[in-house]
Amino acid sequence: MIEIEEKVRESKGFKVLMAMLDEYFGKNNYQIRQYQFEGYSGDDPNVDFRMIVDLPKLKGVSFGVGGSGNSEMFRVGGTGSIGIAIPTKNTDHILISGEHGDGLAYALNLKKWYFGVGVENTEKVHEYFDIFMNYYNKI
Amino acid sequence: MKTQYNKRKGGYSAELASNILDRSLDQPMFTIDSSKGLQICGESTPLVDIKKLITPIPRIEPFSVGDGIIIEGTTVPYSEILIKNKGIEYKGQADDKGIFKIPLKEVTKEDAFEILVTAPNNGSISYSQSESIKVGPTPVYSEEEMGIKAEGTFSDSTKVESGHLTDDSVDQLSRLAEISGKTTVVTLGSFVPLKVGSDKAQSYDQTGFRAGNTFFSMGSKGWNAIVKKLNEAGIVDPDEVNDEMWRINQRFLDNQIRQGKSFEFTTDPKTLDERSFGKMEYDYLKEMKYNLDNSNGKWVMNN
Repeated sequence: MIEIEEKVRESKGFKVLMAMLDEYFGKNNYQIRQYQFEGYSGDDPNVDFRMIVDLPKLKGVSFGVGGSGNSEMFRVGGTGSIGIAIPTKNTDHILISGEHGDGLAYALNLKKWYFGVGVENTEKVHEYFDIFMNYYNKI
Repeated sequence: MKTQYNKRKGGYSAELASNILDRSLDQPMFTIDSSKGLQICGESTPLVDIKKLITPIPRIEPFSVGDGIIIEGTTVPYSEILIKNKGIEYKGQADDKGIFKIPLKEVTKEDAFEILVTAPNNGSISYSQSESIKVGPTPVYSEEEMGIKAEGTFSDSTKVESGHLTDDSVDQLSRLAEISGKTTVVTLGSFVPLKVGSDKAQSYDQTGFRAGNTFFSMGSKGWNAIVKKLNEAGIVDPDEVNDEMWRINQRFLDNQIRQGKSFEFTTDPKTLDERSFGKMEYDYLKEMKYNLDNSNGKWVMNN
């Protein structure tokens, strides 16, 4: 497990996601409560992970990278895609924290963003985070 | 000050209640003395009749041959699990829901694991060890054995116009990806790749094939063949590729809905990754007025 965690922390997806959190909320203004590393041991390049983050105005937001590694069924591969899920009571879906929540796109009915956004497309990553910030600022 | 409690007055726990029904209505059950604390009346007669039961045989999920395999199962909450194989013992404990996951170093096709479970005593029931069961790995079927089409057929049917798969192409690909079973059930759920540390036997396609159900699969080769054609047509962002792949998956669901089939997930769909195809399938079926029923321990969706 430590081996997988190290691979994730060195991955581009992890670094991009942390940089986005720093950029949008400030380095000391959020707290990572929980990690879930989803890859396999050995040489497998899957660096999928999810984490639960407490933001100043919203606790228990899920940020993660999925679909990374080798291309295989249901997985585009490469550096993967960033996804955000928000806590909401209007769902039966359960986040890794055990709390109710759903994907940002599903919760806001923005189907275009259902699969999140590719790590490599900086412009779209910002666009995706702007959507989240627009939601966050209205809380 | 001394207080007597009996059945008529209440004041005792529900757990005790079931054990005192045979006693006389007026017989005091116990006394509380401020100086001596709680005292049981008639100490020669046990207040609680301890039932002796054999721990029920646990339910074991299918597992496959390989390294780093995990034996998963369900039993009485907090039970102790003992697994024996070739002189090696693996131990573990079930959680508060009775679920246990015990990692094994390796599983070969000759292995037969002896599994013994002992549930904890709870004050009114004393459990002895369960009867021994022996379980071996579930065979993992190849894509060819399951009838998954060759990658070339998926590649040949992939047609892109104006940045999207054509409707005809979506239709053809959805039918190519349909592996029809004899039952009226469609198996959905998590796809588990064949690699170290994964348990392929629990993958939805393997589960569906074993059960004779219908399932969606283009295999990883077929998937990659379509993705390659999409990339060549300029669809490269993962989210846009997934959008096109989802159109094929969704058309498959539409075809099954039209046939009046029911859907069964291999895992709780409410806990699937928020952006997984399995979660999208679940959300889509809810949109189509299907309801999740977990009453028989399976995650079935009917409308």
